[in-house]
Amino acid sequence: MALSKPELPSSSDEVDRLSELPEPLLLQILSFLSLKFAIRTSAVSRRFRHLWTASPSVNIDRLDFHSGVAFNDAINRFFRLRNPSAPLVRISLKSYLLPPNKSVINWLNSAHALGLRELSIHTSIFEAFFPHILSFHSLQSLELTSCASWDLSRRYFLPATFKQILPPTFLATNLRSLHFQAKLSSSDVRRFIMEQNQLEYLCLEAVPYHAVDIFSPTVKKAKLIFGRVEPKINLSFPVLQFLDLSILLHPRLTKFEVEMPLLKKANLKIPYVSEVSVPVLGEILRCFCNVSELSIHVGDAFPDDTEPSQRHKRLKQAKYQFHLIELRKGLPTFCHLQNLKLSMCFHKYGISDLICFLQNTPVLESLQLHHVEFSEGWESKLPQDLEGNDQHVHFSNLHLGDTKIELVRCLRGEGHHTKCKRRRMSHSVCITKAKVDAILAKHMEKVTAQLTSTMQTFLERLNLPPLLTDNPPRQSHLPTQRIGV
Amino acid sequence: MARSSTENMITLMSSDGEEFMVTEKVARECTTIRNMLEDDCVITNIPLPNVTSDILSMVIEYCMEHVAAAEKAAAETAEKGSSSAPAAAKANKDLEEWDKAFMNVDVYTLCDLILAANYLNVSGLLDLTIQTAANLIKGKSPEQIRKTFHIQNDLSLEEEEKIRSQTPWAFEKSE
Repeated sequence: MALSKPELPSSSDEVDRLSELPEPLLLQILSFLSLKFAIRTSAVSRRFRHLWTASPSVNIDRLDFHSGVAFNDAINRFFRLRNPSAPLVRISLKSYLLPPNKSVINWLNSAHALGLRELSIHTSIFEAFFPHILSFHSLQSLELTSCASWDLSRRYFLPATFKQILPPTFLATNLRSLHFQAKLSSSDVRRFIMEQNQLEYLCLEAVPYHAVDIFSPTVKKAKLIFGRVEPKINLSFPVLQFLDLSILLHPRLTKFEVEMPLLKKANLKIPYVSEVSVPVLGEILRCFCNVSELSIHVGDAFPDDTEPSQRHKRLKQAKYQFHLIELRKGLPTFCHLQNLKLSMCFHKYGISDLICFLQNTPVLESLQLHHVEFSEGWESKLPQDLEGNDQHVHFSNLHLGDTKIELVRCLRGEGHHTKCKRRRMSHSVCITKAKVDAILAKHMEKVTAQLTSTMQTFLERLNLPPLLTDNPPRQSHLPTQRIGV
Repeated sequence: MARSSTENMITLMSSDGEEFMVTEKVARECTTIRNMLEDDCVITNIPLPNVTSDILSMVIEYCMEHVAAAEKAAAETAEKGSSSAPAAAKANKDLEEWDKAFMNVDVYTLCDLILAANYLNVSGLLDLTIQTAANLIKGKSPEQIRKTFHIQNDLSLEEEEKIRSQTPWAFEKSE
C-alpha cells in the first residue's frame, strides 16, 4: 500500500486555495466563527466581502464586544446587512443582559423571517420574550439557558422568582428538541411540554421546582437534572427510551412516580444518599426495572444544589453511603438488565448493595464497577484484578456458567484482598474465557454455514458461470470466491 | 492481486492514476464509497477523479487510524467485557492528539483535504478540517488572514474603508 506524506510542489506557495473552495464549504467555515470574526472576513477580499451575509449559522457573543451598545448595534446591523434570500438556520445569542424586550423581539422576528429553525439563548432574564418565541412555527430546536452567575449572588432557591409567564392559551409549536435551564414555574413547564406533539428530545436542567409533574406523549430521549424538588416528582413519558437523570435526593422529596414503559437505557446520578431518602431511591430504581442498560453514579457534588458550606454539612450527614441495605426487599428484579455500571463508594455497604444487585439481575452480562472514594477510611473493598487494581473492576459474561455465583461468593468473603481471593477471581475469569471461546466457535460454525447457503442461492440467482456454483457450499473461504471473478 | 481471505479489498484510484488498496472497512468510512458499495456489492475498483494521490493517501491514513481506534476499543470491550472509563478516555485523547498532529499541514493541503472530505463525505474529517480552517481565521486581522491563506487583496482602498466603517466593531481588537 502506498502511504506516504504528500510532498507539495513548491510552485503552490502563493496559490490561494481557500478562495477556490465552493461557497457552501466557505460558509461552513464561517459558521464556526463568532459573528465578529465572521464579519471581519468581509475586509479580506471581494470573494469574502458579502459571504458572511449568507452564513446559515451565527454565534453572537457579548464577550466579543467592549460595550453593550456595541453589541446591540452589531446585532441590528447584522440583520440589516444580511442577505434576505439566504436562510438563517441557527442563531446562538449569549449575553448576561439583553436590551429592552422590544429590540430582542425585533431580532427574533428578523431571524424568524429568515427561516430560523434552531434558537439558542443564554442570558439571565428571558421571561418577557419567551411567550413571543411560541409563535415561531418554523422553530425545531429551542435552547434557553440562564447564566449560572445569577444564582451565586443570591440565597439559593427563591420560589418567588418562578413566575408564570406562559400565556393562558398558545398554539403547539413544531419543536423537536427542547432544552430549558430557566426559571419557569412548574405549572408552566408542565403545560408547555404537554402541548408539544413533535418533541423528541427534552432536557431540563438544574432548576429547582415545586412538585415536578411532566408528561410528554412523544419524547424519546430525556435528560433531567433536578435540584431541590419537594415533595413529589411525577414523570410520564409513554415512549421514552433513554433517560439521563441527575437528582438531588432532598429529605423532603418523598414521592417519585414514573411511567416509562419503553425505557431501555437509564443513567442515574445522585450526589449522595442519606437514610431518609432510601425509600425514594427504591422508587426510582423500581422505575428502571425493565431497562437493559443501567448506569448509577453516586457521589458527585451537585452543581447548583447548595452553597458550598451547606453542601459540606450535608455530605457529612449523609455519611457518603449508597445505602441500599434497607432496600433488600424493595429492590426490584431487573429482568432485562444486561449491562450495569456502578460508580460509587465500594466500602462495606457498597459491597452489600452490589450483592443485592447481583441477586436481582438474572440476565446480567457485563458489570463495570468504579470506586469513588469520598475521604480516607472509605477505601475500596472490591476484589482486585490480576494487576492489583481495585478502583475500576469489570466482569463480563456473567450470564455464562457459574461466574456470577463465584463473584457473589467472592464478594461475601470475609478477609479482604487476600491472596486466595485474588486467585479465585482470576480463576473465575479463566473459566469464563474458555467457555466463551467454545461458544464462539460453535456460533461461528453456524454463521459460516448460514452464510454459505445464502451466498449459494445468491450466486445461483446471478447466473454466474458453473465454476462458482459448482463449488460445494460448505467452504470457509467464501468471500474470496465472491469477488474473484 | 493479493487478497485477504477474511476481508474484501477495494482499490481506490486517484486522479493521477495511482492505485490504493484498502480494506472494505476503511473504504466504508467514506460515505460516498459506502453508497457505491451498497448499490453494487461486487465493485472492487473505484476511480476517484476528484482526488489526487497525495490527498487520497492522507484521507486513507485518517480513515485507517479511526477504524483502528474503533476496532481497538471494540476488542478491549470484547476481551474485558468493557473498556474501563479511564482507558477509553485515554484512547479518545490519543485519537484527538492524533487528529491534531494530522492537522499540522499547510493551508493548501488543508483546503484540498476539505474538498476531498466533502467529495468523499467523510464527516469526521470534514468537521476536523473545517474547524481547523476556522481556527486559522479566528482572532486574526484581515491582513493576517490574507497572509495566512495567500489571498490577494482585490478590494480598492475606498471599498475596504467602506466595509470597515459599516461594521467598525468587527475590526476592534478584543483579545
